[in-house]
Amino acid sequence: MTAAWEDPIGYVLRASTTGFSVGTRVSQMGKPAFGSIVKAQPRTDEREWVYGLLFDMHIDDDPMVRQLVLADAVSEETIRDQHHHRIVPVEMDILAIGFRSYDGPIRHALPPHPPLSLDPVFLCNPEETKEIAAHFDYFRIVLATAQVPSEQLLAAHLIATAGVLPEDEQYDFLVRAGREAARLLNNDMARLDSLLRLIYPV
Amino acid sequence: MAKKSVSELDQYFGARTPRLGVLIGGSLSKGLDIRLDPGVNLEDLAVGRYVVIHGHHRRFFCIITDIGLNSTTVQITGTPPDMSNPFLADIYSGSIAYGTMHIAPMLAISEDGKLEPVRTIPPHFQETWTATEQDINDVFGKEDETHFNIGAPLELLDTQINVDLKRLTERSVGVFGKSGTGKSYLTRILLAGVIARRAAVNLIFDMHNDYGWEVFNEFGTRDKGLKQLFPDRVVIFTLDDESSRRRGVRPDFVVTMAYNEIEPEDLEALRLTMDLSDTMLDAARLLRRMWGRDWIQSLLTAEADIIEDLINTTTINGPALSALIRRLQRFQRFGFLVPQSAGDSVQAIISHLDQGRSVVLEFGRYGNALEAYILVANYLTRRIRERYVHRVEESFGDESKQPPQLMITIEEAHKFLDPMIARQTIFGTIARELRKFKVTLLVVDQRPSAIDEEVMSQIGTRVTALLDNERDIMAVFMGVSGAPGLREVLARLDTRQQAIVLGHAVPMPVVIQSRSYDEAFYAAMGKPISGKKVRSVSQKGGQALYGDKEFEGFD
Ligand SMILES: Nc1ncnc2c1ncn2[C@@H]1O[C@H](COP(=O)(O)OP(=O)(O)O)[C@@H](O)[C@H]1O
Ligand SMILES: [Mg+2]
Repeated sequence: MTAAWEDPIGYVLRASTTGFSVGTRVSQMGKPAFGSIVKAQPRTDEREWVYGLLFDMHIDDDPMVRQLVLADAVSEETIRDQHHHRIVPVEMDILAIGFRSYDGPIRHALPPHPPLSLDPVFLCNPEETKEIAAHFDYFRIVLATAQVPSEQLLAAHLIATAGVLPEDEQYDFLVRAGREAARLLNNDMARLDSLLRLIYPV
Repeated sequence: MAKKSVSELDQYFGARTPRLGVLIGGSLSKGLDIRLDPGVNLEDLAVGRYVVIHGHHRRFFCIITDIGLNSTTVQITGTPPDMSNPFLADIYSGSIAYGTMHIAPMLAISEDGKLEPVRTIPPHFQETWTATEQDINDVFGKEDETHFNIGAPLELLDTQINVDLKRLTERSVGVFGKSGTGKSYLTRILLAGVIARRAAVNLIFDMHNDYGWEVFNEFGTRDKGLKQLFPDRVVIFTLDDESSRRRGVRPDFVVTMAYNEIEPEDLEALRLTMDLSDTMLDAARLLRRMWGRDWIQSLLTAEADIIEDLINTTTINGPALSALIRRLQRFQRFGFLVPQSAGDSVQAIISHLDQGRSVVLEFGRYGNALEAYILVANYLTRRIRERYVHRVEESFGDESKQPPQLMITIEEAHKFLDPMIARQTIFGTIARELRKFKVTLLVVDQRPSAIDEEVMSQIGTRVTALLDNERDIMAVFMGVSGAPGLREVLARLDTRQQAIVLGHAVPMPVVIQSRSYDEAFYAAMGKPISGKKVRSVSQKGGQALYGDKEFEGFD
């Protein structure tokens, strides 16, 4: 069995320097989740790896679905077939939080160039996840995004990240991350409070 | 010069743990503000403790003068977070809500180990650490022939705070504190150091029989007196032979004073204590001129017609004269006052001092009569100083003929040094003329605010235990830089055996847990000093600190 991060989860559909969308099949949408860290792989060394947080997944309709929605009785088999042979991909939206030049360290900043269409996109492996979460400089980008409730996104990401750490480091990690968030949200106690309640370790 | 990285600084100063926080603001004159790190527990800190800031090229020694709470937003004070949730508590404390401390910079040590006065402050965000043993040793050195251990800094009880005895004795010294805070014990420790290292000879006016022979401590057991620690270097004189013998003392000399040795100037010092008015003192001076040395005895035995005659033929008025007589009659209770002199106490004291022995004068039961204490202390000191002045002037140019450095200890010092009389009394003169004639004072007092300001400013070293009166606290810090912060420290000392030491004899102000006066102390007094000479850098440092210029008092 291959690890979750070894095969692409999809390919770039659209991109800008602030983020990109990934197209994928229904069958591949199980591994990535809201808050996952992903990376778009460049096809040449001249371009950067772009890292980002998955903040949205959506399923758009197509003419076939529209018909089926109106049909009287649709069999399980037809639905499964529709899922399998969709003509419109499942889309995942990624918020760019960092990039890496060929052989360089990961930098927590918006990338100088967007990824290109059809670049393969992977989940980050635990090593990269730890490398990214060693510094919290990207919290600012996350908390500034207006596209989703940003504390929900950050919380999902932190819980996922804590999950790749050894058990005895998880609490400390969440406290340190919580303090950094507290520093940034110092003018918005309500948001901070909701974030902290989301990451409260059980 | 290039800035140094943290690891380079570690090479200079040694690695430290744990860090307390970072410097976020403040000024040289008002003190520095430190934002405490999240993990630091406020309850582990205390005002009075030393912390060290690493600048780029020097270590700054500071005393914690205040500890506070702050938050980055006022919102949080309006709706405090749920601190019963440990996770939320861990996050909020140290981030949005954090601890602060205010510290007063006291001294700097440069990379090459030189002590320097603080003339600047470290830059923003430098790291602050608890002072280590090594830090303290770098400043206060080891005990040696001229440095004497008087206690340990708070929280570093294995280290020593050493005073420079030479510097201690060449200016006047003050020991202040409320009653029961350990003044007499601290004084005894200082005197023991001075005697053990032969830094000076002492004349101690021992009001409550605290210094010569054994005393009872708070537990009702006996602690040794100086005579018992240094039998060959201390002699006990007494004004009250009976009291001394009752306490098991065999005094070396019983002091008496003849009425005809008391001069009107000796009454001058009693002006406040005995409520003597100008007219009464004028009358005394006139009588001395008219009747000669026996004026007091003549007055006390005068018949009514003689009094009548005085009033009629001189400028003296009746009420003043009878008031003066009533005052002088109080002297008749003093057994040490005799009609004819029985021996020259002044000469006896001086010859002991000359041989390097310190003299403790016990007052016995007269210690409770302030008039007796002031009268005798003034009388003896005036005459001893006269001889000192004479001899110092005679020996001019020939050090070997000079009398030994003399330190005179008085208690209830404000009674001698009140602004109303400090100018006229011998003790005021000694305090003001500095070391010129090799006589300095050790004043012990619980009301420093009642001491004349000019005198106070000449007290080179101040050792102060707990004081709670605001004016007294201000008086002790008069002219000391960084004083506002130190006030907070002083007001929070333990009620016993803690003191702030500042001034001439220490490189920087320090809060000490005073050395215990016990068997270990006695034993140490009997032993030769093992410590090496203090590192020469800190001596050089001392000079840099105070300069070679003549001490002009605290400004
Ligand atoms: N350095 C010390 N070592 C041992 N005991 C001390 C020391 N300082 C103070 N004490 C205790 O405290 C009591 C009061 O001290 P004392 O010097 O008499 O106070 P003060 O002179 O200020 O009124 C003493 O009886 C003694 O028991
Ligand atoms: Mg006392």
